[in-house]
Formats: sequence, structure tokens, C-alpha cells
Amino acid sequence: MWSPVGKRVEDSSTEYDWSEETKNDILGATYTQLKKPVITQTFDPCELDSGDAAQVKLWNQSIKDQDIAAMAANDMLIVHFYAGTANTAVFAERYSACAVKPSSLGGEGGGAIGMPIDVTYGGTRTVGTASISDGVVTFSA
Amino acid sequence: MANEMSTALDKIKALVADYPGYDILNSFSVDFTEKIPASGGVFPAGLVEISRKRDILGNVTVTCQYNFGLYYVFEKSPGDDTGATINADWVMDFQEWIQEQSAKGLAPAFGDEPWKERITAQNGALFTADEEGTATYMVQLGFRFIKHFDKGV
Repeated sequence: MWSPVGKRVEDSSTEYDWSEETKNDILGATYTQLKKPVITQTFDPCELDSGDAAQVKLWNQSIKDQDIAAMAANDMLIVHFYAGTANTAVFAERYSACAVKPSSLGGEGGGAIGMPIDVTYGGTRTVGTASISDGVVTFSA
Repeated sequence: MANEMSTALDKIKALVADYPGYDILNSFSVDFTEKIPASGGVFPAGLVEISRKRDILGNVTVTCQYNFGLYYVFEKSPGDDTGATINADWVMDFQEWIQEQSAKGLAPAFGDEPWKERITAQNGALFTADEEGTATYMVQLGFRFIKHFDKGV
């Protein structure tokens, strides 16, 4: 079962690093090389919420257990809600081994405890579609 | 919404009734204050939405504030400085008591994040005084709280 990440997060984007390398040869032509992107995403601020299943899982594996193997092997799905047929077949990409690590834990006095997380999408990339029904996301490769 | 407001009113009336000086009042009404000494009333002044934020999953967080006016009628003859001092002390003490309840987290919660709630009782002042020996004091009460509305995926 997929659980959404990003409850109470108001602004978050995937960042694409294409390892761009541009050269000019002796004739003045420009060549650019790109590599498969390293995709990262930061969820900040991310307040602890006991009703957030994904966050509870991440807190357990990182803060409680410090299980670095599990932290580096999270199965994650990026669902592109804006692309495809709404609710029934939107574009989605699955990454089999994503590193998810909290960057801090705490916050100001009297406020909620924050646990912002950094995600690096990795492992095998599988593209497909996702459908959403009654709050349940189903991925089809 | 009617139920929510009456629930909020019940909480506010209960909070005000917990004030140690409340026992000097003979009556306490809603939207009404008798023009006789030792009576009081709470006047709802509505709900104000302070801010509305949406997270990346579509859930909405709203910060709201309930506003109320508390009116108390006490004895105070024209030129009665002693009575006026007693009344003013009562009003000021009430405001400090509300502040203490809020700061210590002892006040009732209205929203989904009780630890962030803020209750204020302020601007307590003489509202009107008449020749018959009564004076009406008014205190502004504000209850700021946060509510979450989850959309789900």
C-alpha cells in the first residue's frame, strides 16, 4: 500500500541534476553532454503527525532504529497528477531504492516537532500509470 | 456550523465560570446583560479566518479566531473611587487569569493543535456608567486556533 509523503508541506519540488557538461571545440562548436538525472526532493517543514503513515515509517527506520540499510532502500512512487487521465491513469514512476533521511528533528518551543526529510530517488526506475480511488493509489507498470 | 459555535460557546462559558472571581456574579447570559449589579454576559462577535494554507497533498490548514465581548455590570456610584478600584481590579485580574490559563495550557481546546492555541482577554475597560449606581465593563476575548481539513490522496 502506498502512503503519501508531504502532509503539512506547502512547497516541495523534485530537483533534477543532469550532470551537464558543455564544451566548445576548436572550431567554435558547442557540445553538451547529459547523464541520467539524479532526482532529489526536500520536504521542509515536515511536522510530525501520528496519523501520517509514511512519516511514522520513516521516523521508525531513521530516528528510532537508525536502520541505514532500510533508509537507503525505500520503494517510492512519483505520481504526476497533472499528466494523463485524471484519477484513473496518470503518469507515474517508481524508484525501487530511494534514500530518505531526516535532516533535523525539533522546532521552536510550543510548536509541533518538525522532521524535514531529504529524498534521493534511486534504484530501478519503472514507469507506468497510477490510479486513485477512495484515497488508495494503485500503480501499474 | 451551529453545533460547532454552540460547542465553542459552552467551552467559553465554562472557562469564564472557572475564574475564581466568577462567584460574585448572580447571573451570566448570552447576548444579554441585565442592568443590575453582579450580572454578566458573553456576546459572540463571530469567527474570523486568519489564514488558509494548502499542502502539496491538497490538505488544508486554517487558522481561525473566535471573538467575544464579555460585559460585566458592577456597582459604581458617580465619584465612588473605592468601588471603581474594586471593579477595575476584578477586570484586570480576570484578564491575567485568562492569560495564565492559556499560557499553561489549561484552557479548553478549540482546534486540532491545542499546543498552538492562544486565548487572549484584553482591552478590559469601563464601557458605560450611569447615575443609578451601575457601571458596565467590557473585556474582549479572542480564541485563536488551527483546524486541519484532510483531503486524502
